[in-house]
Amino acid sequence: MLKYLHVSKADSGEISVYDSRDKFSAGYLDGHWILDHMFSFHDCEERLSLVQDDQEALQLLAEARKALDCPLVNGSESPADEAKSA
Amino acid sequence: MDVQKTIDHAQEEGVEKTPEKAVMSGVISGQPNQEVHENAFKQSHAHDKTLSEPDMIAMNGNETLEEYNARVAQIQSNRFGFYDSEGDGQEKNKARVTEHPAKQAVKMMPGLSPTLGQPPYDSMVKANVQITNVPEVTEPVTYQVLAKYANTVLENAAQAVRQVENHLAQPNAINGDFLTIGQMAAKVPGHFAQSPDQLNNDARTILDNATAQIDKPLEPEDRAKLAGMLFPMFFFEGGNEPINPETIEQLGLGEMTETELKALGIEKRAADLEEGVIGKRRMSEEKDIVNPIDRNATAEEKLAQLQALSTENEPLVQKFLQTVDTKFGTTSEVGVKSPQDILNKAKRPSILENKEWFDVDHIRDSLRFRTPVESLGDLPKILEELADSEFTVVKADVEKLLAPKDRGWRVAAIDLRAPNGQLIEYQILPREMYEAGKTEHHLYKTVRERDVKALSRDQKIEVRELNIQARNLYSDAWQAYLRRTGQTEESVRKFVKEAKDALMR
Repeated sequence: MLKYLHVSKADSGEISVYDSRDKFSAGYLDGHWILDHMFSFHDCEERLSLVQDDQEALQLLAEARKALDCPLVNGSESPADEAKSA
Repeated sequence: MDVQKTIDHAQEEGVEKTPEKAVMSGVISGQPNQEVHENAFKQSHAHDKTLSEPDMIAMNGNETLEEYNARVAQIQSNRFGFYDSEGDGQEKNKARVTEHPAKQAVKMMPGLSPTLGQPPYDSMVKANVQITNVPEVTEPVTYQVLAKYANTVLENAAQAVRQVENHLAQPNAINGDFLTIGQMAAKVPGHFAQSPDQLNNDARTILDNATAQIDKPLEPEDRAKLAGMLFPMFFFEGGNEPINPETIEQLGLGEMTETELKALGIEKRAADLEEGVIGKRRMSEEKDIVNPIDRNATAEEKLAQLQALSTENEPLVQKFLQTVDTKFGTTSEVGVKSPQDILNKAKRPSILENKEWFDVDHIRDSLRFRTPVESLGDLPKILEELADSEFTVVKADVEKLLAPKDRGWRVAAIDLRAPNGQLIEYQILPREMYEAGKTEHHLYKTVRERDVKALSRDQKIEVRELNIQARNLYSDAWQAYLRRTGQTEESVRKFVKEAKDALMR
């Protein structure tokens, strides 16, 4: 399991993605990726299942980054940070 | 004969000549030929006499002419010999011979014996009646007899139905019938694991037995038992498939406790009920699973009542854990959730968002205990001990060992109901996971009460970081456990399956 990547899925189809390398945080809700989204039920373990398959987790991360136009950039400030500070 | 002459004459009069072939073969096909035939017939029979004409009636030897003429006149007045059936005389009696009934030679059938008409039936008596009392010539069935017979049959049928109705109207009658079957099934370990089609096989067996009983006279009690025998057929929908939600709704299975379901012989499905197979039904069931406290009391009063229940249950829990620790060399621990933690959980926004009905009543871990194990191979055996204890399983989630939730916490979590009704929680987990949890849990508590809507981006990132750290911590603990024990995910899967089987038993 990749240490920097945390991906979870809800039974209802919602997805939570967090990449600690650039603190990229996104949520998939109602058919759309939302930047910096965190589900209100994040503390309800029963509602979010951990994605243990690295390939699936990476695929979802790539999809989120592409949809939100937040590619991982090697540097001091990531696109996700730039988007927030704008 | 003058036939040929007549034909020739007709032809001379212009009547179309019949073809030679038709004449020779005797075939008369057209209207001209038909007329020729009729004329020829009249000519040839012009002097025929009927049997009633005097020329055809000979005088009897001692008959006078006067007597002869009188007899001819009588014959000619009734040339076809009709008789007046309404008149007097010998002929009248002869004409009515068919009115003599056959019943003069037939013994009347006796009425239906009460032995046949009312239970209890005696099959030997019935057979005897059928063999010895059948008359050789049956009485014509009258409407009254038929109606009486039909009434008797219907009344007997109605009595049978009433018996079943009365039986089913008794409190828990159906449950009682189910209980018998459920207990039978429960006595056979692994019964339902024999094959994916085991339930169907059971259903067929029940149906065969029922058919055999229907084929003979039944005592009222037998009929009631038969009804109970057939009712469980609703449950057997085949193999390992979950019970149809409509069936669950129709039979109210969602309202029954796991113990009650187990008594019905469907304990194998009980775990599915809680694991979301039945969708919305799960939520309504969760809502109804409460602690035995006054739901109208204030929060403080509820906490006090919960505390009293915990105090009462602690010795029972300690007794159970002592048995487990002795047998498995473990060191279990008991914890009582603080009143503040209970209140916080009851008001947690993330829970209320999805379960607006959630309250102190629904708290299942006000008293919780856990057993860290050296090997998950002990899990099935510990659960067998649990099954034999005073506690009742409300919900069992052992799959979480293989498929952890968001934070990676791997544990076999069992919600129980204590003898006094309190909901309590039991966790069995690898030693490594237990140690990791001690470190992480207090960090988790600092963030889980927060309302996400009120969090800044940095605060959200902080929560995210804590979550990924927890996930990594538990992931490391799990890998450490597998390394130490030499077990694999596959071997743990085997333990999980055995654990489920143990809960079913």
